[in-house]
Amino acid sequence: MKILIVMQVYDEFSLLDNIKKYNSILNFSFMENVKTECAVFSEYNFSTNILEKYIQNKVYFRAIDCIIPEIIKNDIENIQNKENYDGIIILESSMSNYVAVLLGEKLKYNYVTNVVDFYRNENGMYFKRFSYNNNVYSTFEIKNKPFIVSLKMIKNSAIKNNIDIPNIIEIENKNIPDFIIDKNIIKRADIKENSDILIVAGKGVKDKKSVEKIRQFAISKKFLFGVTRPVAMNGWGKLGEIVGVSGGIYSPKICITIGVSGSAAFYVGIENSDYIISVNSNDKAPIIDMSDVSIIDDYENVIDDLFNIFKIC
Amino acid sequence: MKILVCFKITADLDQLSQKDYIADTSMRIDTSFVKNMINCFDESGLEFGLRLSQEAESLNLYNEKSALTVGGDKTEIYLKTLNALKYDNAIRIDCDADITFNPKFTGEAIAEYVNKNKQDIIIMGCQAPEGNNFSTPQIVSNILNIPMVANVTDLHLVGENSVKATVESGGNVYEYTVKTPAIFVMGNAEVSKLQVPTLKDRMSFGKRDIKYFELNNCEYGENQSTLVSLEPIKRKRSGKIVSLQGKEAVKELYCEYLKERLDNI
Repeated sequence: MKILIVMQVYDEFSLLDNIKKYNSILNFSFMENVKTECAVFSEYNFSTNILEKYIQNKVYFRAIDCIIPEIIKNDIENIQNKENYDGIIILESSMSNYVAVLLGEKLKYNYVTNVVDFYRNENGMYFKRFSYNNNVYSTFEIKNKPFIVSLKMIKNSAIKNNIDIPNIIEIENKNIPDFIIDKNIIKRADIKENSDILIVAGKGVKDKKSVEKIRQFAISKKFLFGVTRPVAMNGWGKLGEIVGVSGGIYSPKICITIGVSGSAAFYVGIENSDYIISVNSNDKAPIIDMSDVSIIDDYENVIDDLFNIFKIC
Repeated sequence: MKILVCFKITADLDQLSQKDYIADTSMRIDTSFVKNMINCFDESGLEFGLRLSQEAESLNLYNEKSALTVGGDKTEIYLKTLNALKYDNAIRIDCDADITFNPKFTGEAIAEYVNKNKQDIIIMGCQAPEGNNFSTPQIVSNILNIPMVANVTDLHLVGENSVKATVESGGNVYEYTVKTPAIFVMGNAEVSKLQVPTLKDRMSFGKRDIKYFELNNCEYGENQSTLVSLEPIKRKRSGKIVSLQGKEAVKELYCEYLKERLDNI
């Protein structure tokens, strides 16, 4: 089997993240005896020497102003017409699901979005993803190749150096779809800290000022910081800070949730954490059973002392 | 200018507990006893539909705004609300079959409607909580050959034939000026709640007829991939609770549970 792995790179953090996920996928049993090649679409200006160091076989590469699903779909369609891959795996990004389905519909291939695990046997190929607000795993079977999947929440793996240098092919088509009259980047993502500790503020943190206090503490310690979707929708947090299925997915060594009830859609964003500590005044909140240890109390009674513990780290 | 907003009525799954997620033999999870709501991404879309219409009026552009859903009787009360909010058309497409994991059917139904009722701006939510398929807008885009702008967080009218869309992608924020017709797929927008109609508007406009669109070409057919199992996810951890409160609770947390972990970081 021959598979194309597609990466979308926004910045240095996402470049390394993509490479780690690429390494992780190569270890899946599905990928035994599979030849993989890559297509990389990058807004981030980096030397392709990095790809030579870590990616196997062939790499199609396009430096791009804005990652727009239409552009990626068109380029992959052209590559596929030439290479006839048995499968196309799109690594997780804000646009991966859009690309997978646009491509699948156009090429009339079978596809599954948001895949968290995949395997195959003599009967077929199986792709698992979340459904029912991330409370249920749904497994889909695809019998026939070619297939397309977009991935979600694949754990990172250590980066391995290549033995052979791959062939890097620059994608020549530089067109922007004509339905876009004008485009501007108006804000770049905040630089993500590479921290082992994540702090998340939920709606139980009663006001914007309190969320800001927690945010500033996290920034001062260079911890990761996030909010639940209701907090962001209230305007107390930034949209880019949302943790969960519609935001960031994290796997820190320690995650501290403050005033978070623990909906499944949120929990997906932290469930790969090594250790979860929660502060909540409601002992029946779903987060309590899904945490390693909890303090049942109003966060205002404990937060300053809690921060003091981490000040000495 | 014609604006179409597509929306879905879903069960409020936050009302369900873990033990409710048991699939029956036909691989369905019963959510019929749970309160319904407008899918949150679609709710943003409906509010943007109203705002774009107001912007069109301020630019002296004729506009017609429609709201469309694929569903059954449970959609009726929401369509009446949209009538009361002065949507010009509140349209229902009925389907008896379970389409939770069949976005293809929903996409084809919407496309059939649009083929008969051309639109300039189509607004859809990126996903809905039951199927989590994340596919319907892309299917509509492909069938109609209308371009799609994804992860939209804000929308404004620029003129009769163009819209300014704010898009979030990879943590970056972009602004695109887009030629219509186009499909705008709502992501995490700050405008997330639909206006509430006044009592006067409910009395004046809420009683207008809901429109029913009969499908001719669209049949409930096979999906690209076959659902073979549904299993509830168990997410329990040790769930320990610190016995004390306040300052003493934090001391207990640190001494009993955290000290060693922090020493290793």
